[in-house]
Amino acid sequence: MRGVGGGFGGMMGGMRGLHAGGMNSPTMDNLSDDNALGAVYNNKVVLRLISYMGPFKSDVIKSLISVLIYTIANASIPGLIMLAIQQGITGQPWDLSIFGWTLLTIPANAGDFWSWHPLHFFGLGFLALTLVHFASNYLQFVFMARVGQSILYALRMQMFSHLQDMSPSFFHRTAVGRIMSRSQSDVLQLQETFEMLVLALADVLTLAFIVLFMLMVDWQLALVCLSIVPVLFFILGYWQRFARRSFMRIRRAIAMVNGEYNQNITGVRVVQSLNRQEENLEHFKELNQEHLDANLQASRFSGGLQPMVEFLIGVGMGFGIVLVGGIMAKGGSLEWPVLVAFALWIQRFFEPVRHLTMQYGVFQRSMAAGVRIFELMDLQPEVKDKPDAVEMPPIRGEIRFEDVNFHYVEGVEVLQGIDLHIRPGENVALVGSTGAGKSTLVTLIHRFADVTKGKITIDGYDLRDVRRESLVGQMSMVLQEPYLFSGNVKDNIRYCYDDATDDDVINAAKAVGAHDFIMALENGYDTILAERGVNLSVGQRQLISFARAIVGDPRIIVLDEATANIDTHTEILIQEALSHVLDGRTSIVIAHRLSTIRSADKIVVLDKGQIVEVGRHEDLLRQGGVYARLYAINYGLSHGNGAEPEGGSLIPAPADND
Amino acid sequence: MSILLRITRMAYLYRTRLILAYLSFFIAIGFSLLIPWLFGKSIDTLLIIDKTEIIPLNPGNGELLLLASLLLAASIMRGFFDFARTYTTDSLSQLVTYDFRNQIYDKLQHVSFAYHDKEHTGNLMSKATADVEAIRRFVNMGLIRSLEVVVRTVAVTSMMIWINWELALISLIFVPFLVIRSTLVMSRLRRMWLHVQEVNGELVTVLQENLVGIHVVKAFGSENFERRKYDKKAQELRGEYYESERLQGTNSAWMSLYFTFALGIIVWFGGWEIIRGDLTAGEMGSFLLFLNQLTFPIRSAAQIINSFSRAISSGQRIFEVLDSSSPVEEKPNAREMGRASGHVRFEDASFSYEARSATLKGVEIDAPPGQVTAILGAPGSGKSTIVNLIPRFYDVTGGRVTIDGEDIRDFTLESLRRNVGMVQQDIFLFDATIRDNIAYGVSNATEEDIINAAKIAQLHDQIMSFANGYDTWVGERGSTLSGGQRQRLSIARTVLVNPPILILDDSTSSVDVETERQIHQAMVNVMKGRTTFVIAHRLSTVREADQILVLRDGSIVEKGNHIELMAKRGIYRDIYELQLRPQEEVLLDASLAGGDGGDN
Repeated sequence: MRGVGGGFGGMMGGMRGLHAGGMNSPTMDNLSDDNALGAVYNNKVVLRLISYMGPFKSDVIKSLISVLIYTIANASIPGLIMLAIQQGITGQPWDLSIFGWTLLTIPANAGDFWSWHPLHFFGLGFLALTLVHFASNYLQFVFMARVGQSILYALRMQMFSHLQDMSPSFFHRTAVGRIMSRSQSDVLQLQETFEMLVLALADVLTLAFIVLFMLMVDWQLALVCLSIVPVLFFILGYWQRFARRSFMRIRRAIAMVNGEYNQNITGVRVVQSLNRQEENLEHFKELNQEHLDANLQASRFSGGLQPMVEFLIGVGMGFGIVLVGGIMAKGGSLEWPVLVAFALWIQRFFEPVRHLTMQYGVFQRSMAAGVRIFELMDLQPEVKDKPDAVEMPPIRGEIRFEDVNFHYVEGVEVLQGIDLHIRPGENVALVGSTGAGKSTLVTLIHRFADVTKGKITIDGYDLRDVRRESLVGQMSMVLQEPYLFSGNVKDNIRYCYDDATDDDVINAAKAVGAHDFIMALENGYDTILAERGVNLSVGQRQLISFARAIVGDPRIIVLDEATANIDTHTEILIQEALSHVLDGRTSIVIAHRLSTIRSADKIVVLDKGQIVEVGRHEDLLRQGGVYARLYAINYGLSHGNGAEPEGGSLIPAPADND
Repeated sequence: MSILLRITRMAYLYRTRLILAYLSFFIAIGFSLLIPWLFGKSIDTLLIIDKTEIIPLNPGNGELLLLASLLLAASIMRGFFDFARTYTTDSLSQLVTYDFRNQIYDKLQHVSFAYHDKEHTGNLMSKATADVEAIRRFVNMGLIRSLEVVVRTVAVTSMMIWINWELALISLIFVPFLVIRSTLVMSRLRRMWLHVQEVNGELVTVLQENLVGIHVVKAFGSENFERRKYDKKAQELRGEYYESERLQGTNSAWMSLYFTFALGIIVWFGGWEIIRGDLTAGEMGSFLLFLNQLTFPIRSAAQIINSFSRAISSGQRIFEVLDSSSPVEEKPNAREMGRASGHVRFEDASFSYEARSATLKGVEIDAPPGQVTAILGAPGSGKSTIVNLIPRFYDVTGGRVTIDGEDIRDFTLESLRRNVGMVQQDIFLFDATIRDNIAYGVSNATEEDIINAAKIAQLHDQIMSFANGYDTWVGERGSTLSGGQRQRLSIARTVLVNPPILILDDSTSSVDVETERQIHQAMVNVMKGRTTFVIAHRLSTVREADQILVLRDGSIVEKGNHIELMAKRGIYRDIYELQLRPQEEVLLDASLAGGDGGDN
């Protein structure tokens, strides 16, 4: 992730100035804390999550029906066993009743109806139940997975789509890692929530049916056996609090351990250089020990539950079924198969209960995830197309700034009263010291943000009146730090211009002087770039991004000249490429190179957000104003004070850092 | 197999726990067998079935109470020993992974740069997390649970056979097939899961690249293009996910099917046995409960079998790290290097390595104490490789490097590196306060030392301007420092160690004029009195150096000071001309314009 941070920072251009002030506040964005855990149930989140099920209504209903059938089938197995033993062996009649009220009477020797032995009758019945149980169990999984995955997909796409609409300033305020965790782990968590809701429903239904069937069969014995249940819930509830705390402790501990690992691997060069290995190991052992302790504690908690549950089963089976049930059976008020059925029911009772209590923590995490996701989705994009926005017609390339102001924060103007007229095909160099607002000015042309006062027009169209995509599609921008996507060279040059042919790609590469080095790569244009092109030099990456910028034949090009870390050879290539690329197009260059500045049709000097000088190189130098002074400072003029070494660099790189 | 053996040996260090775990599950199984048996017994004390007639036996209440109490006692004992088994097993597996984590951590911080050049951070992280977890599961499941499952299955099956072997046979006959089937499904599921992870990784890459490169996206207006790209992956992932979940569901449903079916068989066939008089009512009751006890072992059998194959592949990946020999090793008789006076020589040094570092051929350098050597060259010409040889981050493959006349390979790494300070190009800050970061190499540094180092690095004033001063948290979770501040912090960190030999990677990445000056001043301060190697980008640094080395393709092609090299009209002069021409022009223009704009 270090690479990510670096690339990101460099690309932020105009968005940086204002926010750098928050040096000591780690959370500079307006999203809430990622680690907070809150309520177990949040009505808003649940309702909104349910709204995602809308499009899959029929699958949801099918899933619920399968769950219902499955739970009934599951809970009725001991009941059928009981009936089968009772009827099949002794052929006695049976009353289905609840609290003494008879619902249905199964007559003696029911199987005789088909003149079969009753055992066969129940055997077949059992077979049928088995099949229903299997089918509903299978369908429950299938429908649940289908709905769950569809929701996951919908959430993902909605999140991604929403992020595409957000403005660059949002991405500057918010760390990539945090957005990533929201669109990855939080979304996964929500999907898990959905599947868990179904499973929790199944658990609750199973419990309900078991209780119902026990009561139906013999409510007195049922009450005796179920009297342990409140105790169980009490114990589980109490235990849950400790367990949750100890699981939280594990999560924290493992995060620390992994963080230390990561740091040690990425920082290994410093570690070895400064001989920190022994101390680091000591420190790591402490973290690792804490992780061990946390796990042992959790093991004691989760393991400690086992004797409790066993104890309660023992009470239920021993004193409930064997003693009370035995005495009842002895007195003739109970048939013995009831004892078998109750024993099986009690064993089936504890699994769902355990499940449910374990899901408490999952619920809590899910609600927190839901809050975070919907919080992000509810952020309004700062730049939005008007409903009646029109298509931008083919651009000629005339740009006008009319009394433009811009700020991120009310009252702190980044640009002020900008009036600028750029004719089609003109080549403009923007010059100014750090923080003068150069990058902000050029990004406004691409509508990274909207002006706060005045207007910008291209060929007479106010930028805010046209569809952004149709506008930006005809322009391009080369950033100071080249950014490549994974994939091969060809795909990187073609990028979003799907209809560019291979020839177009090659022509673009030739035009910027990248063709030769690309052909020298192992597989030419099909060479796969490693992570963001690290197998290429910065200069080579810059050439590819140049080619990308012209493959769509843009009418307006904005260029932030790259200066740092480029070797001489590539430097010359880029210099030559520039003149070709800019020819015949309107171009605005944030210029660092003398040659670029000098050959510009127009030099615009910015200072503290205002245009202070406009003109050609010689004229401006002769004026001896801001430009002349800036020029002298940035290109290594030092006057008189011998102790002060020259500030210029061997590679002239007074890079833009505003 | 030797891998599993090796993991087992690690577990054997905690053999008391291992034995306790085995003992407790043996006892727990014993008690758990009692429960169905007691239950059946109590039904049999209540009644006898003769053909289809039930004959009540009317046992005394005391007898029932005794059975109930025994049942409760057996449950309690079983619960207790289950707990003992869980705890000993968990703690054993945690202890083993504790050891593994420490070993991996320590290994990783000792292996040479060459190793880290080859290995991706993500890959090493997954070894330290996912693979260690697989080992934990193996200790837990493979080493202990597997035996428990076997013992329990054998014990329960024997009980069932003892009660009625025909019924046992007919109800358990499918179990082996079931286990084989679900093991096969599990391994298929695992492959599917790996594939899901892969697709998920691709999706994450699209997302991450999109977010990091959002400015490119915005600049090209390619939001819809990106949406399509993401959509394609998200749909693929949805399909893969769904398939794996479906398979898992199918497997689970088949498992349930079998157990329901077996219950039916027991009732159906067992019913006949009762009527025939070969089975008592109580025995059928115990039979049903025994079958229930088989559910867990049979369901987890596939997982256990799977844990073996996972442990083999994970163990292999971990031992690969632990067994890797570092190309940079200390000699057994390595000596301590005292404080060197700092005379560094490269004698016909060469270096070649398959990974990222450039190769070097026949490098000869003589850097007397206190002198500054500037190294120039295109990327990939071997500048970093040369300086990395001095603290032995890599070892020469031919020739030698000496400090004060002695081969650096004769000294301990620790004492050598104490003498060689390095300000790296890729500045890494640790997740800690500014103070801790400066004191990283000298943990017993006093506040005064730290402030002094910061002052030399021209950073003190800026640190004091932060609200929390030296306690400002930096690194991943803290606030980010600017590039220039990071570089000076790195200088301060090195100054504090006070090494006689210093390596500076003087990269000027995107800093403004003022920062540039501060960095330069910091560098001038820190170079005083030290033998210094500078990978140079700044004109002033190069011009002031005692000697300049120009590298091309791993060889030194020019050597000398500024004046000598300018006179030579070689590569150095070319670079100088090409990159300094604009500066000369500035002077010219400025004088033409007659302004003295540079005054500030």
